[in-house]
Amino acid sequence: MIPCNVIGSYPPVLDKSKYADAYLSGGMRDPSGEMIRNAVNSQLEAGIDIISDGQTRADFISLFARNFKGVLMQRRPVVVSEIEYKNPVTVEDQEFVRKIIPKETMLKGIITGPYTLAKYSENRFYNGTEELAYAYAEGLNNEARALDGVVDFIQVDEPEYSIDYPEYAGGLLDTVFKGVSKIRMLHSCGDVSHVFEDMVELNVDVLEHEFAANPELLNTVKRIDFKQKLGYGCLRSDKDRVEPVDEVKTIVRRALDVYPPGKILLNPDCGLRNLPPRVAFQKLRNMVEARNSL
Amino acid sequence: MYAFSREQNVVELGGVLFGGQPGQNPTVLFGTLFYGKQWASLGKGSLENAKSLVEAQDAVGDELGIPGIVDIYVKDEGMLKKEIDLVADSTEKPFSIDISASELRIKALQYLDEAGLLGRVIYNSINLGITEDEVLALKEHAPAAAILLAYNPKDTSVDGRIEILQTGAGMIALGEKNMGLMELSERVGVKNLIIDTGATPFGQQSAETLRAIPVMKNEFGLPVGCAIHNTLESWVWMKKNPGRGEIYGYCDSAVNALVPLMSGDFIVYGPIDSHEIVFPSIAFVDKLMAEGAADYFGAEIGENHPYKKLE
Repeated sequence: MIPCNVIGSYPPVLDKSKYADAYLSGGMRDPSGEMIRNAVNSQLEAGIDIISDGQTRADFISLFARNFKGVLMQRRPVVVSEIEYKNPVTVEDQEFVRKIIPKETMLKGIITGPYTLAKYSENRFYNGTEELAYAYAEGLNNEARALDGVVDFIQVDEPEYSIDYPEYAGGLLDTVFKGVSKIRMLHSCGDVSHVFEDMVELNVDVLEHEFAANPELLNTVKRIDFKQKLGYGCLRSDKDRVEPVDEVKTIVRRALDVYPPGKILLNPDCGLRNLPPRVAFQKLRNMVEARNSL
Repeated sequence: MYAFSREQNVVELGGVLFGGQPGQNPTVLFGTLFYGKQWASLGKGSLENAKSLVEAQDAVGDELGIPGIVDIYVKDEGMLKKEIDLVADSTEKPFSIDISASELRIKALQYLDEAGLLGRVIYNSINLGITEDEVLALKEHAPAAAILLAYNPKDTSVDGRIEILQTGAGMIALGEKNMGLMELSERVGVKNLIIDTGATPFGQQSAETLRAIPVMKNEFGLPVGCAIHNTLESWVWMKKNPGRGEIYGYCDSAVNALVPLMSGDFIVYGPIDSHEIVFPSIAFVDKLMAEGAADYFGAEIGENHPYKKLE
């Protein structure tokens, strides 16, 4: 059966009255545990095979950027001195998830990619984007190695690749994944048709892209041989509309016309953080149902 | 020192001015009354003590030129009328009601209307815990002013705090429509709005509590402040320190003084008992800020401001 996968982020959901009461009574609570638990339970209830922690703690840039020495987190990260990895960013959350999910459920660790971090940053220290991106990559390697003992997959998110693909992308990913034994995933949303031929050369096991918003991408992808599995985006993550099961099946069949089921994983196009919670849940549910009825 | 290019709205309530350019008006200090175990029952002695605290805050405020507001904390419905009546009778100034439970806030509004006191009330606060019933009660018994609490448990960054005001961060709705605290307050008809940045403890982006002050003043042009005392109150080291009493007072005085330095217009400074240690430090900062505003920007400062009132 084709595994159902998520890209990572999920809408943060809280029992607001509990937090309002606690705050006003002088007992401020850290809501992270509840947000993670809600995201995980929703994914499990939807029937997802490879789940994430929901990345509910913060947006994917500030989550990592603020945990590097040398980076000031202002409106955007500002790099003012040599970058140094301080502490694990997501490991504690992933350990928490591991404790609350069934043993057979597969768990994905997610790392914001060094190139995307570099492009979002204001660079006041390094000589150019490449040097900065490698500095981030070295730091992120600590996170990847720390996650290696906790999760089943490690995904690097590089949305910037669809806009500006660096010729040193391979070197960056090798740096992040150095010493990592788990399955390596690369997620890049947007239209990657102009760089897909280069991306297949990357040393990763799964390439995850958006095919629901960019159906034409499949025409490019199918002309190119590649060894990796394909994370096939079959749900829009930028639209509130819940795709009916039959529509998802139609999108998935396009991929199955080209590839055997063992070559693909199904996932939304991107993270679902910005969708209303019930919409995010129903989209995942319909993806699982579509997969089950194929 | 800050000055804002955006026009700053000044809220006037019972002669107390909230807001404006930094240094222009004195910082308004809210001292919380009836919070803690010592107020569990309101016998004659307790009520006399409460009255003397209200009067003492007024006296030090008048002496220094710093307006003091009594923030009435109500936990128990049985105490509601007694607490409000005592404060309303002990001071002529506006006062705020500070209540955790939405149902009790509704009862307070009903009583304040009945007692003809809504024109003196600052509602503390409209926050993410607001219910449909509370919205109806606010429409029916509109207080003179309301504090919007920008606490967003999902995201304690400045952006997250602004999000709860502007969009509600997916947690606030009126009927089917999601909306922020700002729009909601305007819809219920509260005319005078004041923003509390929503103090958070260490580990939950506590510094954003203060950084949010100038950002929000610039964004909304409304009076902005906070209860930074809550961050101090939750500091684990302080809780564990055996000599906490005396040290705590020094810290409390210093911590509250950070707010006007960051251009804040009001402070919920903690228990009203602390008025003696908090008012002078705020008068010092206000005098300093006003001198800067007058020298640097040519601001005209009122006669009753510590800048002119105190040597």
